[in-house]
Amino acid sequence: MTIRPLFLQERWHAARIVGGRASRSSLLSLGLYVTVTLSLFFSSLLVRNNLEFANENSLVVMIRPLYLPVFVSTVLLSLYLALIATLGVARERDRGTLMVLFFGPMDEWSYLFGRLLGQTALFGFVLLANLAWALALASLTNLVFHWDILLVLLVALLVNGAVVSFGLFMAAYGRSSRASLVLFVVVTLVALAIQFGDQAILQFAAQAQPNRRDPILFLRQLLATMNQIIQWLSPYVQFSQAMDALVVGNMLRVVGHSIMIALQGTVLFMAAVWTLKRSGVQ
Amino acid sequence: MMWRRLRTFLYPQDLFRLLPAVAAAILALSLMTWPVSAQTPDREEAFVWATTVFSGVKYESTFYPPEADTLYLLAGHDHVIAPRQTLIYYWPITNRILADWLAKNDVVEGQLVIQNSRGDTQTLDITDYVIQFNSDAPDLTLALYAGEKAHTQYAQFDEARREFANALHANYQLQLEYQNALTAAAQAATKGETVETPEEPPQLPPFNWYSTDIKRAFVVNLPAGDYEIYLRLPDGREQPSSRKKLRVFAPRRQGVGYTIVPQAKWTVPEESNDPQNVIYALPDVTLYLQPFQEFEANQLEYARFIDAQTEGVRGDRFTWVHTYPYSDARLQLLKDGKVIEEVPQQDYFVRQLPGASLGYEVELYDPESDRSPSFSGYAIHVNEGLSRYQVRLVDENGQPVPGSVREIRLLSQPDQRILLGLSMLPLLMGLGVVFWRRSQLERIEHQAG
Repeated sequence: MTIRPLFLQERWHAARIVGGRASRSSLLSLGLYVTVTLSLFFSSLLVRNNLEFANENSLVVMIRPLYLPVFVSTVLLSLYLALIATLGVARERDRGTLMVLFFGPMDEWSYLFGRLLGQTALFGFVLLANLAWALALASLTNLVFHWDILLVLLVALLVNGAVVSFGLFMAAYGRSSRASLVLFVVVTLVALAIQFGDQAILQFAAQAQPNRRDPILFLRQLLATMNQIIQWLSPYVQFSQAMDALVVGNMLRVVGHSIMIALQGTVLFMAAVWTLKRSGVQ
Repeated sequence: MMWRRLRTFLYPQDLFRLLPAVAAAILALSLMTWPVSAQTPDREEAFVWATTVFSGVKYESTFYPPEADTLYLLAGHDHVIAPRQTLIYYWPITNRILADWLAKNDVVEGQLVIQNSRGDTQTLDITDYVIQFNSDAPDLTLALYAGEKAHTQYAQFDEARREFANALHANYQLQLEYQNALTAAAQAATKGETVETPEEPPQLPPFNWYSTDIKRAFVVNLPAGDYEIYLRLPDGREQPSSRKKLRVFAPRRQGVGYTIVPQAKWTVPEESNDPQNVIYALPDVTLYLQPFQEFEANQLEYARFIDAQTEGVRGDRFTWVHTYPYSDARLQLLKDGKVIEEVPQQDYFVRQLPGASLGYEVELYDPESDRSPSFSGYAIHVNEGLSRYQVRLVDENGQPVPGSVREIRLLSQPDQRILLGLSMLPLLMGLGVVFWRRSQLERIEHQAG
């Protein structure tokens, strides 16, 4: 264990080593490539559906047709990278590797920041693949390629940082690999269920014309309230709103949502550091 | 055998035993057929805010039940807010609170107190108002008049209506005289006499002005923001349950939208509301563009503004509201910022194709024909020579209409195998990396072993 607080330069050095090790390990395994393939496959299906519609109707009207594929890719890849980060930290703690590491010039901050750095580097690498895919698709189909997609990818980088920080927090909070994994999956699923449930119930309630005393109205109210809270907590919602603001040309809102995502990431990362300090590396 | 059984069954003592059951059955049947009196909903007296608001196209009315906590208004337009005492009831069939305006509809006199978020307060007096428009050009004539102006305008409308009634009566007399003269001429002709045929009197143009009666309410026109309102009664007290939040919203964007009708699919038009929209079309397709004015507003705010009890709307989404068709403009086609063609607005007729293969054909409208045109729009032919160009509207002064620019792109349809194959490249790369790593490990193991 470190017997004196580390200087910033030492922390940065340690973080780079941890990050480099983590990203190299992911780059040499098949999981990352499978996830990228899946995300691009789903994105290609979305584009294909639009082309099919145009084929049947002679025309199709679209706004930024590559935004949705980028959004889908970001969600899938960031969830995968966060999961990998959770498992990586939890396993190293289970096996005692973390304790051994902390005998050297390493503390919770530099270790977790290294992990975040590694996953961010991986995501950046994948974003380049996404960009190449978008360019190829645009030239094949004549779909418009707005350069503001670069800004979207930049915000996606922040989103990934926030989601990975959440994964690190779950890893620090869970006492074992299994507990961390279950926590991560459950919290993610609950957040997704609230968001999709809110939309589904809203549509169902609009179709079913429920009575004023119908419990579905109470459920809808409950989900809507929870969704409003999640809108402030979920980086994906902020990402979607930032893209909407970009389409409208409201750069102030784009910056606002980006700051919000960065803030979410910072809070989650600090929570992860604090929790790991409290729970210890054993 | 059968008869014996029946006789046994019909013995008087058996009938006596069956009597209670028979009586119960008769009672049940009678209850089933008893006329059920219609359920009348319980009405209760309540104070409500009734609004007549300018929706962007016309004035629409709604009222806010006592449990509604926020009123919604569109910024920068005259709207009517009326304090009313009425009878309200819940109507389960439509799942709404309704007001029985016929039974009770009293305007509550007082002052409207409006407080903005900074705490500044303004008061409005109740006033007379009238809404008028001409159905020939509602976008140019729709207006709300308040105070003395309301009385002047209503008097003018009343005078014009009276004059029209007199003219109608006079025209009817002329028509009658014409019919008589025509009959006389026909009779004279049968006798071999030559009579000059009378001239038909001209038809009177219809009276297209509409007006509401003079009513009393508050007429408000506020800038966007959050306010709080209540009704101050003449004795200075606050009207119970009149205090509400007031959200005055402004459109997020304004522009020109297009309904795009492909020639081959006249029944499946597409809409381009957002100025950022790109229209992708297949080669050799003719598109008919119909422009209209529009604005974008928050979905929940706009929906509640039109109908206070609407459900299933979201505050985090936006909706485009179409107002009036954009007429008197020319459409320009631009390539690299230069005008390459100017397209006039023309009338078109949609002809259903005869035969078993149902379909439509859009053709230029012939003014000589006795049918009216199906629609009016700008025809654009998308050809392979131009893979990307823009369209925009210009007004009578030649100035581009803001928000009317759209990009049109020729859509290429690549082989779907190429499209999906692109996404498989990372997997191939991953497999390559894994095999390379494995071979490296094997080489190291081989060297070590």
